[in-house]
Amino acid sequence: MSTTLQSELPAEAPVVGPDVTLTSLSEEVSSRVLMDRAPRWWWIGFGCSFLLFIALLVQMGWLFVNGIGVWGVAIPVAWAFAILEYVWWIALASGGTIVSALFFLTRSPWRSATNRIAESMLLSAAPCAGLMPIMHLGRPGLFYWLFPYSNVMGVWPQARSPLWWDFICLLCYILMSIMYYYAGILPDLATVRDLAQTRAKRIFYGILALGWRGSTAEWQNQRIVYAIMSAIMAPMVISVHSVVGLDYAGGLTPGWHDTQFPPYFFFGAVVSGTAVIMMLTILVRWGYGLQNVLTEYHLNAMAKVMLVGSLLLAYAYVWEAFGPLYGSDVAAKTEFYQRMFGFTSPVFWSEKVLTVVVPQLLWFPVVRRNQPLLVMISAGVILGMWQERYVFTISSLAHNYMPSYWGHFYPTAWDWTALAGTIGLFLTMFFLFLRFAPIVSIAEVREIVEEERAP
Amino acid sequence: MKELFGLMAVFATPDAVKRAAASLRDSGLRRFEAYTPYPIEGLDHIIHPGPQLFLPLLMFAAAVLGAAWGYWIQYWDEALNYPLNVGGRPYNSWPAFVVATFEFMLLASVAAGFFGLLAKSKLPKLYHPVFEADAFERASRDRFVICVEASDPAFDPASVRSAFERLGAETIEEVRA
Amino acid sequence: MTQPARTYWRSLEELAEMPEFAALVERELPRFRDVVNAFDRRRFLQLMAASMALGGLSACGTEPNPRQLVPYVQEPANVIPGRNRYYATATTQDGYATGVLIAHQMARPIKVEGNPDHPASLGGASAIMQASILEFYDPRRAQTLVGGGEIATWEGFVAALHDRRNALLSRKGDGLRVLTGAVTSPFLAAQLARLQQQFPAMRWHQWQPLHRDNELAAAQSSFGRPVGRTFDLSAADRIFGIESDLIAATPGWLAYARAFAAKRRPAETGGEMSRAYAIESTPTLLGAKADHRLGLRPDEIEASLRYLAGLLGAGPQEWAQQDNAQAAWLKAAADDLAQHKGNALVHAGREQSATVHVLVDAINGALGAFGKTVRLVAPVEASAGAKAQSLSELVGDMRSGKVDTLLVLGANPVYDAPADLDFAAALRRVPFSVSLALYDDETALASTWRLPAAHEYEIWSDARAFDGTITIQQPQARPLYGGHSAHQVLGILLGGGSGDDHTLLREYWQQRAQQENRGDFAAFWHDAVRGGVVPNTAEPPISATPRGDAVTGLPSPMAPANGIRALFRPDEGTWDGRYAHNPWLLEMPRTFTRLTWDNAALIAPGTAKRLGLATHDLVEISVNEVKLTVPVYVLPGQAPDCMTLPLGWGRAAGGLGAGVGFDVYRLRRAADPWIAEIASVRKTGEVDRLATIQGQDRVLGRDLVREATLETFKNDPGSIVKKEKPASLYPPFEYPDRAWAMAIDLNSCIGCQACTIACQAENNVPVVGKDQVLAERIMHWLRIDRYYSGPPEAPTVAFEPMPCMHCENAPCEVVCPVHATVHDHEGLNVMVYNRCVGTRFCSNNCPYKVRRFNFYPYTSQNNRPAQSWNPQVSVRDRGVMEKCTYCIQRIRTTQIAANRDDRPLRDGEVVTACQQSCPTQAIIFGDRNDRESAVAKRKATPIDFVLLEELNTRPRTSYSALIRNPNPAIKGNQS
Repeated sequence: MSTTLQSELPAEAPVVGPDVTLTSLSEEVSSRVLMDRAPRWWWIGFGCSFLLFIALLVQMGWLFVNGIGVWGVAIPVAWAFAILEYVWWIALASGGTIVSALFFLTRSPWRSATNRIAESMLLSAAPCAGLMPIMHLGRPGLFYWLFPYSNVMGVWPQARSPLWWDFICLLCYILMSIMYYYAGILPDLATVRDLAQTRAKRIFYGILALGWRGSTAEWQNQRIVYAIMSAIMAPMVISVHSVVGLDYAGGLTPGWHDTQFPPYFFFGAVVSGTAVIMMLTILVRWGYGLQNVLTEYHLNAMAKVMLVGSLLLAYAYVWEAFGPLYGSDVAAKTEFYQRMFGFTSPVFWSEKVLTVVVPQLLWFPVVRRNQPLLVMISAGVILGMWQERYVFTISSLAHNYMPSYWGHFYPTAWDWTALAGTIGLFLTMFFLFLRFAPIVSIAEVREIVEEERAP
Repeated sequence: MKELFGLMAVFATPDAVKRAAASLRDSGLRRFEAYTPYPIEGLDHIIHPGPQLFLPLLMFAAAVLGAAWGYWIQYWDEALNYPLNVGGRPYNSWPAFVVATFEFMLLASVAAGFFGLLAKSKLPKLYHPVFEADAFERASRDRFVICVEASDPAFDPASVRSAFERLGAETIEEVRA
Repeated sequence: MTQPARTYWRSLEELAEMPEFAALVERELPRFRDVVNAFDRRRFLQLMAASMALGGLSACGTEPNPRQLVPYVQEPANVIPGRNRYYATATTQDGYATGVLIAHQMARPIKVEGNPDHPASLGGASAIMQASILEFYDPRRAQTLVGGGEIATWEGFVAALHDRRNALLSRKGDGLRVLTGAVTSPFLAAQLARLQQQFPAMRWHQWQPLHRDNELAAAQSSFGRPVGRTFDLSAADRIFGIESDLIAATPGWLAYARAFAAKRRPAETGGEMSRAYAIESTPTLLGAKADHRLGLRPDEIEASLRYLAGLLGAGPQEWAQQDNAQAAWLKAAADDLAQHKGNALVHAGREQSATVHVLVDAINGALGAFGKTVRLVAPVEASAGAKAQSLSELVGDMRSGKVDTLLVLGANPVYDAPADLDFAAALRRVPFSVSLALYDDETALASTWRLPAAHEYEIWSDARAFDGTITIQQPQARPLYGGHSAHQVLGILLGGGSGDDHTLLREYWQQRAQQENRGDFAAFWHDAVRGGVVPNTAEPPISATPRGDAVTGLPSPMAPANGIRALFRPDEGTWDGRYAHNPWLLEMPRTFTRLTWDNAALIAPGTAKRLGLATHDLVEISVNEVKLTVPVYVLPGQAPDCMTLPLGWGRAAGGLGAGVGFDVYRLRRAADPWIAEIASVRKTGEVDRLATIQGQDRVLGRDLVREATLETFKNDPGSIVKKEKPASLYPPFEYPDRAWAMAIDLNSCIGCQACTIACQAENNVPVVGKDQVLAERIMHWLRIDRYYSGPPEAPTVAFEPMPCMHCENAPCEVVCPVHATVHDHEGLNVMVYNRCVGTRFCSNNCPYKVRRFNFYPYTSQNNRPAQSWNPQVSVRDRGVMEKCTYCIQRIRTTQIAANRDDRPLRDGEVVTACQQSCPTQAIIFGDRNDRESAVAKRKATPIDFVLLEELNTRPRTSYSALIRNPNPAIKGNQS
């Protein structure tokens, strides 16, 4: 481990600041959780997010009372914002798991400090993703019919449907992520418990910590399980997003019926997930003044991951074009022309620029060190990914096999409210994580600190 | 006066605690445990030697069972319980059943691992004698603590205390419970 | 507490009226604003909403025969819940009858079907006929009798009319006028005759906006007397249509269309096929089916006909010399016609000038058509006079105060009379005017007495078909809204008191049966009423040939317009406006424009380009000093410099249709009712979004319509449809007992939309309204796609009915996560509404886009009277997917019947609603496993193909390729 670490360390940027000690680390991180009053910026952020969340609830009420008709969906474009945003959210979530699981396996040192942010983000994004398909049902109250249980008529879900795979994936994914998160945060909760001043907090965190003592036996078990879990979560997240891809690849629609979707989606998850984590890391860094724990080294590393992701995406885009253009399916060809030059074309091109062209700036160390730029690029990437989903979800349906039934999609105010609302839900949850759980994996960073102290 | 649970010593560095653990073991003590802010490489092999196969095996077994159940539930539903002609596909469309099978496998495995972790570590256990010790306070922060339990047949307060002193313990404390 | 609850339940359309929402809309989605403004949704939401009235009504039950009310304590015989019971009667349009059978469920009429024994139907039923059942139930029909602005009683009216009668008797009926539409009813005619006897000075006028005065005038000059023309298309190998409504609207068109199609199925008739030519200013169904079509301006049409007449020796020689742009084309056509003397037929639409009709008669004469393809019969109408003239005389007398008593029976001149007559003004000068109308229409509101008319399905009457065949109309229910019939009103005037029409009609027929010595009256009456046809009442053919001097006496040729000409044409759905309140017909996509809920000014692409106009643009046209703002629709195949303006929209009063579309009658003059010069066309710059349902007009390289010439078919039929079944990894499912399948013949489909409405009627398909059509949420289970090929000025048209394909490898089923759509053992792709959660993945996955989704609770919003729905088909709730089921309810009922008789199902026993209504038998349904079945036979033909075969969906619905029979002598422009 140490060797890889040394080799990866750029001379100018240590993983954690030199002045960080075990003592300071534990106290600094815990104090953010234990402080009596949250800082003003937290309240502002949380407040705004919560207002958006209320908007979501209003939207849902309106939707459930009046029916799915309040959205812009129609025939042929029967899927629109809800589904594309489902894909978008699940991609962000998956990004979180990729960072925390995949890079745990690769023993990347920068992962130790950021994985908690990544997982908190994941756990905040997953509900948004889960909410979308349910809201978009014609009869949302009956979504539970997708659970594998026998109803009165003895009818079960239809296991050949990509939608059902998807439902199962999401279900497993959320459950597994929670366990993965908890297995990782247990020692830190113990630290917070031991540092807590008031009785209430002691009890609260005492219960959450389940009586973790940090004995070698516990460490041994935790390490074994956590390692295997990571080894499972990595393929899991790839499968989750591939299955989301199968919703499309399994669809008999020009522009969807394409084997490249699973990897295509995974690449998207990598780049957009990292982008969100990047933005949140910078937020936490400055908001909580953890500059020595979350150093430029981390940002640098994540910027590189983002760059790789966007390159993978570029590759996928080449295939997105090559497939229909080289293939013999007229419908697919026409559909792709429509993407490029039809009523989705502005979105199509801006998507390519934001997710592939702009991120190329990350080749330059200067850019990777410039945090405002990083934030802007990340924001661009996230927006671009939304647009990508918009284009292939709507354009394909609108330009289907039956020219007589080509259509358009016009979002209604409620479509936009749903989008804004889920963003609210996401931020609300993330701010709560920020406030009540150690946002940096103390235990793991301790090792880094020790590594660095070691001559 | 509560009875003696064990003797606790606080060390400053991981190496110190490792050395201490080794020599305690040489001196024939078995029932002692180290409490550290992070896992110290090698330390676990000194205190709990031998291969640790239970959890990996448990997770593997769970994976196998999960997969089996996952496929069965689909096969039973589509081919046995209520066979329906869906889009002209065979009742047992195994390629379509692979996905859910895979997911159920992973879920079962992770769940087993998580609860196995808690069970094997005897968690949740909200009270433990070591919590009483002031020395333990920093075990979850920046100090490395060893506690030799009185229940150990080879336990002799005096000799253990002297051993701790010899090994350079910062503080030594009796844990009573 | 109530306040939040109310807002909680507030509906979208209420919201649409809130200013803040409007503002939001402005910002967020400009298109939605158009939608909301485009059509006041609430109006159609209250479609037929009168649950109260009907609640009361269902109590007394709609007993088919008011003479015998049977208490339901003992179940009346033959009324078996769940089983249809049929009653024959007839629907009339412009007086002409088409026989129908009306299906009753538990004594409630629910569906109109064609009467196979009736010559004008032969089992087919037009969209308008299908929709009449909705008109019958429409609670927006007139329900209150109003006299002098006061709500009055029928007795009150009777008394008033009696006083009037006495006054009139004293002066021999001077000042008494009766205005009706075209009358074919012998009984009504008899009543009017008796009225004439009682009141010698009284006059009977007739008016109907879509009159056929020109045909009549032509008959006068060609034959020296009024004659009707009927056609025998089974004998016609060459058909030449001049903007012909032969297979679209002319009386008897259902029968004509069937005969026409029968001669155009080469694959089933051993390679025999007729050839059709069409010249027209605005697209017609015959033009769409024609093998050669020319889009010509009206003046060119006339010139071309003179040329044709000249070539065929039907006119002076010098005509044959003239040379116009289409000379070559016409020459070839003329030769072709000449070669088929005796089997050729020329037909011109009612909108063509008298000159054209005279020329047509002459040409038909020259082709020896009379007695062969064209049969002349004595006029079927009781009094075949020129309607326009009759009306203008009436108006003249009204102006000069000669009229003091006017009975308007089933006409609506205030709305549809020529604008220059200004009927409304004249009517104000009539002290005692009575209007008997189905709705509180424009005329009713302007009359001193307003009587709710009983619907055709509520009265005893009789009517004649295009060939003279008489049907005795029996009521299907007692009047829902206490309406009365024309017979009753006249009965009073005749001094018969408030006699009810059953007695009156029976008396009349008793006499007549005696005169025609038809034997035992009871038996005759029973059979006539039961069968829906009075035997041998068809008019015998008259042998006559057109007078030679007719053509020579023709006026000088029409001059080409210097600007743009307006063409006034009937609308496919609202006809002359009388059906403008019928939601099914309002939402019925028009054959060529695919428009719903609007009429639009149709102009040719070239003309549009010249004027800088595009579809949806609002233009202000001025015709005869009248200005009218209309939306433009650019229609391929429209003749240049012609703007077709569909009549029958923009109703000012009455029901649902009030204010929908624009009223073209305001531009219409009595002198030239079908054509007018447009003084100016001004682009307003505004846009009115027209709700057209078709996305693209062309197949865009997909293999959706296979097409070939008859020649190719004869030489190498295999080359037309390449059949290579894509391989599949999975073994196919077996369907041992039955495999339901459908075969649709693209040759036979004339795009008349009858199947669409039949399906809507049978399967309780809701109406959604203009805003939802614009939102791409129309619900029709069966649509007729219309594809163009070739240049926009002269396109080739193909109609393609699109029901569910019932694919054996159904893509929709595989993606449903809850088993809501699956296959049954007979290969039907069934929808389980109750299980559907509404993911809509099935719709995405349907390459044919035949699945429909209930985005709103359309069914309940429609508010149709409960008893008007078909109880055999479950209505669908909000959030549920639905689609064509191959009329599974019909399959099952027939199966059950067969099982009860312990016999196998016979081929052709199960008839789907679309198949049943189709006038041309384009649709065949049956068991594919039965090699002898009609459907199997048609599928066995070499030109049978399925859509998007490469997707390997294995559809059960297949199509027969479109075969055209072009004239080799005509180069290039194949239609």
